[in-house]
Amino acid sequence: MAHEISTEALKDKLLNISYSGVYAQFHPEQLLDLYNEVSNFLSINSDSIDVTELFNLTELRFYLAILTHHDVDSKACLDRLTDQFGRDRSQRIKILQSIYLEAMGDNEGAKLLLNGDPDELDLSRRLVTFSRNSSDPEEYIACLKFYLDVQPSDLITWAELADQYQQLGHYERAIFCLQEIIQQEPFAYNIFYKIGLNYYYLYCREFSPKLEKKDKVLESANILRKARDHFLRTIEICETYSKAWLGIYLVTKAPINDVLRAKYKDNSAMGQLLSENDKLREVSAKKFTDLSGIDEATLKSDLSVSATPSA
Amino acid sequence: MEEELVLDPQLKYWVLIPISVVMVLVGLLRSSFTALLSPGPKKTPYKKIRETQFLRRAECFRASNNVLDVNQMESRRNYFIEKLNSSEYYSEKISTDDTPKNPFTDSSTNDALMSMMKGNLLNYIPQSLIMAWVNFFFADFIVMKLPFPLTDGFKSMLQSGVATPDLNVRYVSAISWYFVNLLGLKPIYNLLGDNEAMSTILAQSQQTMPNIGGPGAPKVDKIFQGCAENIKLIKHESIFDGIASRVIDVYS
Repeated sequence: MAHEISTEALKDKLLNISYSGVYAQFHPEQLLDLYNEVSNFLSINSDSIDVTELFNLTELRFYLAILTHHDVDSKACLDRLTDQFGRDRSQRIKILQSIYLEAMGDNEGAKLLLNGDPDELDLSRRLVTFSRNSSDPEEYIACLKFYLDVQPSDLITWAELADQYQQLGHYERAIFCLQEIIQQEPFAYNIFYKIGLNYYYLYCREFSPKLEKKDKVLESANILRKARDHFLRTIEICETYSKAWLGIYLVTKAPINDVLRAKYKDNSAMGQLLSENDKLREVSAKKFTDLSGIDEATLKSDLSVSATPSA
Repeated sequence: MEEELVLDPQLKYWVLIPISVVMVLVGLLRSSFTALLSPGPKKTPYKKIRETQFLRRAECFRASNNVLDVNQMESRRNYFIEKLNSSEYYSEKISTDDTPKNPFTDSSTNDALMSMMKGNLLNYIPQSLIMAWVNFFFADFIVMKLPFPLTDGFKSMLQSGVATPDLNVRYVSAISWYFVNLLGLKPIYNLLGDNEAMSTILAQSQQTMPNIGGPGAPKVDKIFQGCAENIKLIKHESIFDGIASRVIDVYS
């Protein structure tokens, strides 16, 4: 009986991994363990589980085999699936085939497979990713934009476009893309964090202590305030997100605070910003050290070395 | 004491069981045929998806524009109002005349009618053939005697085709056995792991007309314009207003 329960639980675990796609973020070692687990599970239980679950797990095994370089086994899984569902009747199978071809180095064949029908949008999205490796990032961005014109509320593509813009330093555009996501998922705290991060990068680029012009300084302060507000929103949704606390801490420690204090303290908006920052600095330092286990002295010395939060 | 009819035991092997077996096999075969003939899921044209997704994007903007600040909100509001009032995201051209289309010239309706017809034919043809077969070879047969008594009300059900007003209800005629099988085989199909077979037979009795695209559905331009109106009316309030003092209040 105990064995039965564990089989059932294991099956549920694997199916959950398969549905959520979380394996895409595993370490190589975790991937290999999971691959072995799925292979063992399927070799023992393939006759006793429901067919839908069997094929879902076979698909999972295919992906894991590709990721762990088990080429022969991935081919075996793919053949099993194509035998069952036919070669060209389902988008899902076509995607698997194209992934296999791409893994084997046959990019042209894979593209050809994906290129057939404009109504097969899943395939189009995968086709877009082929331009990712081209030397010109603008080409990839153009492809992503084209796809977004056809699928204006595809969140994964918006996120990918934001990443691309961020890499190229187009922080404002990246923020725009990320805002598309939070409009549809208003509680996606990690996206709020990313927006804050992009504002912070923007501030780092715009501001230098040598800035003289008043409106330039105030503009930078405004950007930094937006970064802080987005980090704060992250905290409002998810209190334990330590990276956001670190972001708040960095914002309140940023050199522009000193400039503001020296020159623009009389400006009422800036005065308020400074007093809020002072309070937030203490809170965020305490919270971050509580959550991460790093004590405040280390935090200060580390920050003097690198003054950017991690992505 | 009523008189007993003597039934030849061979009737069981040559009539009763063959009819049942043929019914089961035909039911299974028919369900496989239905599966083969039914068209796969149809793909929605990408333009249609584009239209719905754009509308969804606009609706999401309306619902949660509070994650934006005022300037971003205004520029997006203008963008959505402009796009929603243009025809850029329509999946097909809007015809200006108001006469409703003939539903039977619409290909999707025809497909639905066609598949319904196929299902019906697959139901009726084999059943009529079996019925003809039973009627031809086993007309007026009494094939079995039920092991339990029944009231006279069952007479018309169990003894159709046998013109004997005084015969005990427990005797079952061949054609009645066919009907009993027709309606009562579901557990057998379930045992054989084929849920499809019976559900199609049952569906035959409660078939509904496919939804023929009538003039009822609202046109896309009206939906888009309504959405644009809603967006014009948004009263914006940003979540970032006073967020610092909110957080400070909670944590200090």
